[in-house]
Amino acid sequence: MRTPPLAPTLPVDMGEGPFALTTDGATKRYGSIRALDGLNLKVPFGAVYVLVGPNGAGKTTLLQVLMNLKRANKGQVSVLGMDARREGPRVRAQIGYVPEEHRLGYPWMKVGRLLEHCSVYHPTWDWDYANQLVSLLEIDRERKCGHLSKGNVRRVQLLLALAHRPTLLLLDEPTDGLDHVARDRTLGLLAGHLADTTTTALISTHRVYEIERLVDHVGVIRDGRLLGQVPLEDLRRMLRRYSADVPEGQEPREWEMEGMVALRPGLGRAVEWTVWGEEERVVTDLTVAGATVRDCAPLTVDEAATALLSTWEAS
Amino acid sequence: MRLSLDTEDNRPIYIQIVDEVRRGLARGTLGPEDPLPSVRELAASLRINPRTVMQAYAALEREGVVYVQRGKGTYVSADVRPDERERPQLAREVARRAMREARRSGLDPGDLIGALKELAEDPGPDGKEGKG
Amino acid sequence: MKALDLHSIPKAEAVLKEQTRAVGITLRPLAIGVGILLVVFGSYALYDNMARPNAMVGLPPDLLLYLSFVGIVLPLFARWGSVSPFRPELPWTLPVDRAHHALIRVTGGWLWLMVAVAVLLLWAVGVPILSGGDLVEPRLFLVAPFSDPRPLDPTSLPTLLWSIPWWLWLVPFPAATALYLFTSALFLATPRPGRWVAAAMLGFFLLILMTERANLTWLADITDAALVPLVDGQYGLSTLVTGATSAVASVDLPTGESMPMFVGVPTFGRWVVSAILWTGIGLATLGLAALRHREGKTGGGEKGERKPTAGPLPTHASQDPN
Repeated sequence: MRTPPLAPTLPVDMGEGPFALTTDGATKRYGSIRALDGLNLKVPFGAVYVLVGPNGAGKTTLLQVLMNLKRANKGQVSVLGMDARREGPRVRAQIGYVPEEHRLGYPWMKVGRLLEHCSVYHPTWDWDYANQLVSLLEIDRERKCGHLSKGNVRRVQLLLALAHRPTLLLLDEPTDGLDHVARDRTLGLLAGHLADTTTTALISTHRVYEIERLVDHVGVIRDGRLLGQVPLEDLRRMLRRYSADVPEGQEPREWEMEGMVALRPGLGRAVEWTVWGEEERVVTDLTVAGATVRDCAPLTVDEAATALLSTWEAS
Repeated sequence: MRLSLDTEDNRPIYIQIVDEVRRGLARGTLGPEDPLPSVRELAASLRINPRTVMQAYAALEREGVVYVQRGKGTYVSADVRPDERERPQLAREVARRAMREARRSGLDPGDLIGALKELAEDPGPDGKEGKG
Repeated sequence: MKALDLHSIPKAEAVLKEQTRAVGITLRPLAIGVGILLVVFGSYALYDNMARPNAMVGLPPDLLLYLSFVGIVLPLFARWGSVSPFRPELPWTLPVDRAHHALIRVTGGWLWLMVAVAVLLLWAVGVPILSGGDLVEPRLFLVAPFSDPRPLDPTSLPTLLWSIPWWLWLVPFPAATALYLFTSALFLATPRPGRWVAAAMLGFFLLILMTERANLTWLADITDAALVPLVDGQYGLSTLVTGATSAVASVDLPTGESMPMFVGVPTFGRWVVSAILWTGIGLATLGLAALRHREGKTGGGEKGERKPTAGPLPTHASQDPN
C-alpha cells in the first residue's frame, strides 16, 4: 500500500569552486546508448567524492572520460584546469587510477617487473612507499600478472595507483574482490594517502558503507546524468529520517509531503519518513498536520544512496 | 592512545573524536601534556578522512583542551580540569542521547529522571556491565 | 589555493627503452623455443654435414622469403592483439599519448626484429659453412627484359655471370621491416585484425574461384593487371623480399641443356628503390593507423603535443609561481 513518493530534486550546483575535476555537459554515446548524457560533474579541490548509482549508470564511463581513455562526444572535461581531451598524457600523469576491470595488461610479466615497468612512466614514483605497499597489501612480486586472482589483481592496481603519489585518485570499485583484511588495510592506506598528499579523490562504488568515513561529497548518477551532488554535511543536514506518530485513523498516503524520499509505516500509528528538506520546515509541516515527531536523524551515505535511488527508480 | 568509534553512532565523526578525547580526560586515561596521535596516524587507523581529524583537533584547540606545537604535534593542555569541564560536558552529552532515546520511545524527561534515580540506587544486573 | 605542483610525464627515450624491454619479455618464450630449435637442428646439421662436405651455400629466394616472414610472426608473438589500444588496458592508462605509445612499442619490437633476422640469417648460412660447405660459385644466367618475360628465342638473350652480391645479405632486413610495419599497422587500425585478414583471404579465394570457374577473363585480366606488378613488377614485393632473385626461370636451350634465366637483372639500385618504397608505404600505413589513437584530436596536433615531453610543462609554468 505504498504510493510512489514525489521524488525530490537534489542540488547539483556546487558553487564557484575551485574544482579539481569538472565535466560540462559531457556526453558519451555508444551507438544509440548514452552512457553519459550531458553530465555536469564538479569535484572541489581536496574533496573525497563518492559516485553512487545503479549498474550501467555511467560511473565507469565517467572515470574513463576523465582519464581520456574514452573521448566524450560532446562537452568539456577538465582535470586540474587541463582539457582532458587534449592533454590526456599530462592529465593521466596526475592521476592514480584503479580501473573497474581486474586486468593488468601484461599477463606474462611478473608483478615485480610490472612495478618497475610502471615506475618508468611516473617520474614521481616513490619506491620506498611502493615497497611498503607491497608488504602491506601482501603482494607477491614473483607471480605472473596473468596468474593472479581477482583480489590480488586489485591489490596490484591499488599499489600502481598510489605509488607515484598522485594528487588525484580515480577509483572504480577500489575494494572489489578484496578480502576483509585487504579491504580494511586499503581503507587505511587511502586515509594515509589523503593525509600525506593533498589529494582529490573520485570514488565509484556500490559499497558506500566501506568508505563512508572517508567521503565528504556525494554524487548520485543515473542514466548518465547526475541527479544530485552535495557536500556530505548538506546531505546529513537535509536528508533525514523522521519518526513520528500520526493521529488515529489516518492513511499514510495522506502524509506525503514535499521532498519526500520514502515513507514507511511502522507499528500502529508510527510512521517513518525520509525527507529532503530543512529540518525545521519538515517538523513544522508534520506538527501542523497533527503528527508528533519523536526523532529526526541523518542517514548514512549508504542509506541515503539506497533511499534516493529507489525513489528515482520508482518514479 | 587508541581511539575507537561507534559504528552505530550517527553523530558527525569529528564530534565523536572530540567526545572520545573528553572521555579519556574524564576517566583519567589522558592527562595534561599527553600527546594525541598525529592526524595521519589517527586517520589511517580509524580509516577516516584526515580532515575530520583536523576538524576535531581544531575544535578541541578552540576549547583549550589541547594545544598544537607546530611541527611536533598536538598535546593535552597543562591546565585541563576534567572535573570542572569535561565531566559535566560528557554527562550532558550522555543525557542528551538518553533524552533522545526517551523521546523516541514516547517517554518524557520525568520518566527518564525517575528511572535514572532508581537505577543509581540499585544498579541491578544491567548496571554492572558498565562502559567498555 | 595552493599552487599546482603537477607531475611531469616520462621522457620519450625512457619510454622507448622500457617498451623495448617489455616487448623483449613478451618475446622471451618464443625466443627460447626458437633458440632451442636452432641449437638442436644446428647441431644435427653440423654433425650430418661433416660427413658430406662441399655443400653449396647461398641465399636462395625461399630462405629470404622465410626470413621476411619473421616480420609477420613477431607482432603476433609480441601480443599486439591482446594489448590493443582499442581497449582501456593498463599501458594506455599510462601518461603517454596513445598513438605515440603504440608507435614507440612498434619501434621497440622492430629492434628485436632486426636482432631476430640477423640471428636467423647467420644461422641459416653459418651452420652449413661451418659444417664444411662453401658459398655458391658464380653462375651464368640468361637475362630476359621486363617487357618480354617469355622470349621465344632464349639463345638471343644476353648472359650474365652472377654471384651473390654483397647487398643481397641486407635484403632480409628491410623486407622483414616492411612486412612488420604492415602487420603492426593492421593491429593498430582495427580491433579485430583476424577478421580482416580472414575476410581478405576469403575475398581473394572467391575471386580466383570466380575467374577460374566462370571463365571471367576480363576479371582475370583486371586482377592480373593489379597484382602482377605489385608482386613481380620491377619494384614489386619479390624485389623487396628476394632482391629480385626469385624471378628465375629455367630455360631449355636447343642444345638440350637448361639454363637459369633472370627476368630483369637483380641490381642494387632496383632493390634499394623497392626497399625504400615498401618501407615508406609501411611507415605511412602505420602512421595512418596510429592516427586512430591520437589524443587531442580537437586541436594542437602532433607537434603541439610533443612539446611537453621535452620541457617541464610549459603552459602551467606560466600559471605557477614556482
